[in-house]
Order: sequence, then structure tokens, then C-alpha cells
Amino acid sequence: MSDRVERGDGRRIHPVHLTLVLAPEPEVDAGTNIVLKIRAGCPHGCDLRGEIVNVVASGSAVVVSAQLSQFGGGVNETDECVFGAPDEVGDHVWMVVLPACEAGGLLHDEASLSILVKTRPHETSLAVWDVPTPVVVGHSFRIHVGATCSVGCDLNGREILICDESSAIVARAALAGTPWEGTRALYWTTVNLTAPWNEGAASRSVRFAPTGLRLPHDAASARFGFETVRPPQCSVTIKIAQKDTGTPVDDAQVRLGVYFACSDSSGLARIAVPYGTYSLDVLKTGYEAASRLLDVRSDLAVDVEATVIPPENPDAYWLFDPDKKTSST
Amino acid sequence: MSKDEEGPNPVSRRRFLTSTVTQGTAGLAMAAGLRPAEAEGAGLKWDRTADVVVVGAGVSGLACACAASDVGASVIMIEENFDIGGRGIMSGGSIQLGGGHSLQKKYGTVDSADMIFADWTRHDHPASRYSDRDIVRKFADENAATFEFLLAHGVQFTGREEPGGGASTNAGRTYQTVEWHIPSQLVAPHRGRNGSGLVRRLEESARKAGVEILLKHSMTKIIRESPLAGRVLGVTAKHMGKDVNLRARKGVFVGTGGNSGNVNFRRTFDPRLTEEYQQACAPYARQSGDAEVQSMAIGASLWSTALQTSQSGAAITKTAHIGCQWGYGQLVIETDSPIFNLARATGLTVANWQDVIMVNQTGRRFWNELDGSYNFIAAAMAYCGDPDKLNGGGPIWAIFDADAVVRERWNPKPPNVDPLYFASGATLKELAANIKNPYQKRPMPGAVLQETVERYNSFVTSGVDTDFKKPKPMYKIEKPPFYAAWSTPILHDSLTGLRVNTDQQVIDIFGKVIPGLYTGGESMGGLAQHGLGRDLVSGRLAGLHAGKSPSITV
Repeated sequence: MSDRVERGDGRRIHPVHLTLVLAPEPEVDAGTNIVLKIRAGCPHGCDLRGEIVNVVASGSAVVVSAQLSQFGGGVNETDECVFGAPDEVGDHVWMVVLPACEAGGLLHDEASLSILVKTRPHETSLAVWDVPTPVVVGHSFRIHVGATCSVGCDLNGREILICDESSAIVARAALAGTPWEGTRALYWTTVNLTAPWNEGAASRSVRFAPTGLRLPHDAASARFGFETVRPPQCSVTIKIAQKDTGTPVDDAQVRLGVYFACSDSSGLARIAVPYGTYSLDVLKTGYEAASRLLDVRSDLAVDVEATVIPPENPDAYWLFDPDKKTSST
Repeated sequence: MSKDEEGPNPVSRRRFLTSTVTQGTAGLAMAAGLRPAEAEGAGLKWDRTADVVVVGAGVSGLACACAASDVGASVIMIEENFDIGGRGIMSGGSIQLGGGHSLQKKYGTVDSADMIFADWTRHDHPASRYSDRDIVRKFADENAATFEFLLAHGVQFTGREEPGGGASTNAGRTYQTVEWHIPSQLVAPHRGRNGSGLVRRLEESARKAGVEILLKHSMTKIIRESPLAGRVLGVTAKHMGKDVNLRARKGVFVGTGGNSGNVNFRRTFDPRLTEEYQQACAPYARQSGDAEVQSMAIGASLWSTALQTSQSGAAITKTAHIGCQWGYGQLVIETDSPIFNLARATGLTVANWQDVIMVNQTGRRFWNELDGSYNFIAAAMAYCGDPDKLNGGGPIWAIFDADAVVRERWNPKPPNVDPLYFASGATLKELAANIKNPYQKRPMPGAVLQETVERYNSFVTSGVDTDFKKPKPMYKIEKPPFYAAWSTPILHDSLTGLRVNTDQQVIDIFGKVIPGLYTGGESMGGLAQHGLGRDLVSGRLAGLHAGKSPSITV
């Protein structure tokens, strides 16, 4: 880049080149902040500190100004400057302009640089939790649904919809005002639902298409499932005890077909089920119990012996046991 | 100034010409017809000299130093770390040595060298079928003597005897050392790293015998008379940015802990082992492969390479602690460890893999999470669809929810987790967006992760994992917040390395001894026994042979 000559007095004008030390992402969420840091360089290494760089929107309005405040290695830089991306979704152009100036008695030409940024709607996403399973056909149950925005917008009062497999809306609820514990902005609510009358696997979808917010938001959806079962006809009591000692095993997870329970301090877990044949599994870390099939035709009490698994040798990998720790021979 | 301390000592061409290579292996250089003028040592300024220079103050190096001292050799040992111990100081201290030694006799354990040989040459197990039987024979014959050597050097053992160590006969052949008694001299306090008792006792004994240990000296070169011929004369090490040349009158031992930490080198054996994988003893022991690389640079050969990829032993394992960069087995770097600043997090120890699912960098499950076999590892390292990364499987993440945190009694915050290797989110999509990790080259698609979890939750509801047959999937992942914790597999053993003869002398690519160069431990090839037994026997044998070798005089 060569110097230009001023017509009036014949003085030479130094060119200036602008670059972005800190550039915005090509896409940003609508209405969020854009951060820039601008570098201005004169090929002669002139110190331009004190000059003002403007960021100009397409309508000629200056959205932010920043002073060239740093000089080193022959280049000048601003501090970080911040301005807001438009609330509307779309492509936006700004011009970074350093007006012509005189520094140290030397003339410097105007310099400019364009910035293109696309603004996008805020992404929303959902969580669905505390979904009970199984649920007796035709019975009501409750779940929790939460929604959050990628920027953390307040979603208080926004509506979520629950739909069945045919996309028919089966429930509506408004998100409440306090975010779920441990999250920045998961707005949530409790939703009451009724299980379908047919037995078996059921699924529901949650839809969230927030309206009435200042900034544009994308819709979100999620899916959850549960099993529906006939009303219980009898009770199965499972008593879990440690083999050899008979000590009750508490906090063991019991699975009887699609039913779940947890053993209490007496090692007991009770599950109400309709007549049928079920696979019984008991799981607890550090224990082992054999699976079995139960044919349930009346109230039933079952004893389960749980064998303690010896603590794993911490140096097991250090040993060469021909029968273990290998997957192939 | 000790007998071996000397100032800069240029080995001039004239002096080299008049040097006397008296006999034995040192004579090979002359026999090979080398002109001394070609010797790479000419013109070097030797900063220090000893009979034996040991590179690496780990288990094999310490055994070598002690053994060489035992036969009257002077020893200088260099170590790149700020302290001694290498991988040994991080180990549980289980030493697999048998053959009928005194402790076995005390326990009434029947064992013999022949039984060890039989175990480690078995054809029906991949850990032993590829062994070099000459190496195993010597190893077996020297087991008992090496155990007595440890006792003589003050190593103390607990009263426990366990089967293992390759004992198909189930003979007691594993003995645990007593943990070092000074907490401030441990690298991993509170975690039963009894290997500290082994290396500290050997260090103590070595220092008493006059072995000089130079810390923060990193070997950069092995000096040979000429690049691919002649005798090894010493090594160059980098210390505080300066080169230090160490001359060895009898031999150089290189034992730098294997090559698991050298991405380029380890991929010699398995191209999948790209940069993202954890290392068992990092961030303390680098497992740099320096011994292998520098030895190969002067002509050394690898040996029994099938041992590295036999899918037996612990060449690569599932992680035990998640949410930290280094999550190996029983090894936890607590906040009062001298290297906690490097480890940055203790990790979350997984008690029950039912509590998590594991996904690859694209957010997809890849295997039954309860499995820890090589099948799991292979699935974790499978191509995951990234056209810019064809080798390696990329990061693996454990995904779990708030309920799992309660069940596992985790506190998913620093210092238990490392923010670079851990993420949380209010939803699964937010979680995916929050995964920022140097090895996660592409963002995890949130929609894919959500779909993966929804599908997995349906398996929990039905009780059947139709994708990967995880037995009885127990817990849905549904309650926010959600978490992603680094769970990428861990590289552990170097199961093979440099070719050696039965005296631990390194062999070159033409099958000839490289005079004056020894190796052992995980830098050697031919025997894939994990850890301390192999390290100790090989280090001791090298020290004895080098220590008894004739000196080069100049």
C-alpha cells in the first residue's frame, strides 16, 4: 500500500489498514452482545493513539465508538468494545470506520472494514423428568417439564404442550417463575397426565414454541415413554438378605418385569402387580443375586439371597490371571 | 569432589586414539573396524563420568543402580522428573516375584524357576504365547535372587501373599511392599500406593552406596562411537536448558518407563492410539519412549511386538474416575499431592456403571457400559464418523443426571472435576453445547445426544437394551442438571520394547549387541509381565552385567 499525495499542499497521506483482533462469530444469538477489538496499522508505524474508531450500522448510526488506546510494534489497538446484535433474525452489516486524521503532524487516510454477522433465534431445549413407570391404565400421574433458552431468557409463563402418539394435545401447562435448582435458567412446571387405556409401551412428546418474547426463539421438542399396566391384583414381597449371614440388604434395586422398587432397612421391597409371570432381578453394587422367573397367581413372598462380591483387587490389572481380565485368547 | 566428579573434559581425537578398549563387548567397536576418528564421542566435552550411567530413576533404573553398586561400579543416575520413582511410586506395590525365594518358603509356597518359565511361555494365553523364551528363561531363573536382592536393599513387605504374577498353578507369587512412611515424600498420598516403599527403599540404598541421582536431567541423546556402530560412550541430557554430557565407562542403562505417553511411537503398535487417550501414571511419569526412540536412533531394534497388541494384560483400560484428565484405577491425585496442580482434579469414582451411559464425541452410545473388556475398548476407539479424524475414537463422555449424582454420592464440582474435562447443562442439548474440550474437535450435536438418551431411557422402561445388550438397564437419565464427564480409555502398559539379550544388552537391527547399552523394565521387549517383577529382574541383571564389564579407559 503506497502513500497518496494531497492535492492541496502536496503533503503525503499515509494509508491505514484496519483488522479485527477480536472478531465476532459469523452467527450470534439475536439481541446478544457482539465484542470487537480493532487494530489500526499504518505502514510507517505511526502512533495513532487517541483517534476514534466508529462502528456504523447500515443506517449510518454509530453503534459504538472506541479509542485507539494501545500502541506497540507499530500497530494501534482499541480496548474491547461491545455493542448489541439486532433483535431481528437475519444478516447484518456494520462498517468499522477510522476517519481521516492527522497524527504527529502526518496525515492519515480514512480506513474502513465491514463486518457481516448473521443473527439467529435463540435455541430452546427441554427436559422431562420424574416420569413414573409403569402406570396403571387410565390412571393419572404427574411429570415435570422444564425449558431453557441458550441465552438464559426468562421463560416464566410460557406454555408447553404434551401430545400423544397421534400428535393430539393431551395437556398444557405454563412454566413457573423459579429456575430448577442447579441450573441457570431451566423454567419448569408440573404436568398432570392420564395414562392411556391400552396396555404396553406408551410415548408422549413435549412441545415448546415460545411466543410473546421480545427476542425470537426456536421451538423445541422432547419425548418420553412409560409402560402402562393392568391394575394390581396381588402383592409380591421380596426379602433380600445376605447369603451366609442373613443380614438384610437395604437400598437394593428390585426389578420385577417393568416394575421397580427399592429394599428398605429390613431388606424388604413390596410391589403390587397383576397376575402374570415376571422376571425378578435384584441389583446392588457389591452384591450378586441370580435372576429368576416368578409366576404370580396370588400374594407372594420371595426370599432372595445376595452374595457379597469380594472387593476387587486394586491391583488386578497387575496380575496375570489366565481366567480373568481378558476378552480374547 | 568425588572420584567421578570432574570438570569439562574434552575427549580429543588424540586422546580417543590412545584410549584402551581392553576386552569384552567394548572390543566390538574395534573389531567392527571403526576408525576412532569417526567416533561421535570425539570432540565432546564430558561433564561427568561414572562406570554406569542410568537413565530413569524408576523401578528398573533403581534396581540397576543398586545392582551395579553392589559389584563395585560407580553410578550416576539421571531423572527428568523433580523426584525419583517413575511409575513405581504411583503403583500399588505388588511385586510378582517367585521361584522359591525366602518369603515363599516362609509361607510354604511351592514354586520354582521352572514353574515361572512354564507360566510365561504358555501357548494358550495371549500374554505368554508371544514371549521370547530366552528372556523368560533368564527372568525365571533370576526371580528368587532378585527377591533376595530387594530384601538386602531394605525393601519391606507386608504379610500378604497373593496368587498371580503369571502363576497358572495359582502359587503365591505376589508380595506387596510397605508404603513409604513419610507422607510428604509420596506422590499420591492416602491411596495405598505402596510402590512408594519399593522405590524409596531402593533410592535410600542407592544413595548410601554413593549413587548420585541427578534430577531434572532429561536424556536427549545416546552417544555412540559412530551413529550406527561402535560402543555407547554416554548420554547427553538437558538440564536447566543446557546440555550435560555424561560418560559411562562400563555401560548406559536406559529405562524410561515405556512408550505409552509418546503418541507417535505408540502408534507404531496400534494406529488407533491417537492423542486423546489418558495415561495411567500421568501427569507424574511421562512414559516418553525416550529409551526406545534414542536407542533406535543408534540402531536398536524392537522385539516381540505382538505382545503389545495381544489384547491381554493392561495395555489399555477403561477409566475408573471420570471428569478428570487422568482417571486410572486406584490412582487418585488428591489435593495435597505435590502434582495436584498438574492433575487439576481428583475425578469422580464410578461405583456402578449403571449410573451412566457413555457416548462418543458425536453423542452416540457405542457399547454396553458395564463391560470393561477389550471389546469395550475397541468400540470406544472405533471410527466415529469424523472425516477429519479417521484414527482413534475421539473423546468418550459419561453422561448422567442429578439422580446419579445422589446415588453415587458425587460432588460434581472442582476440585473433584476439571472444567476442561467436565460439563453440565440444564438440558441435554445445553449439556452438549457446553462440552468444550481440547480433544472434542467438533461440537457434540445436542439433538443427537437427546435422542440417544431418550432411546436409552426407553430401554430402562422396557428392561431391554436392544442396541448394546446392557444387562437390565436400571436408571433413566432424566433429572436436570445433566453432566458429561471425560471417560476416554487409559493407556497403561508398554508390553514390549527394545530387543535385548539375556544380559539386558540392547540388540541392533542386524541382531548384534550394541556394546555398552542396556535396557529393562517397560522399555524392553520379549516378556509382557506387567510391572514390578519384570522391571526389577531386568534392571538388576543389567546393573550386574554393566557393573562387571570392563571399563573403557581414556
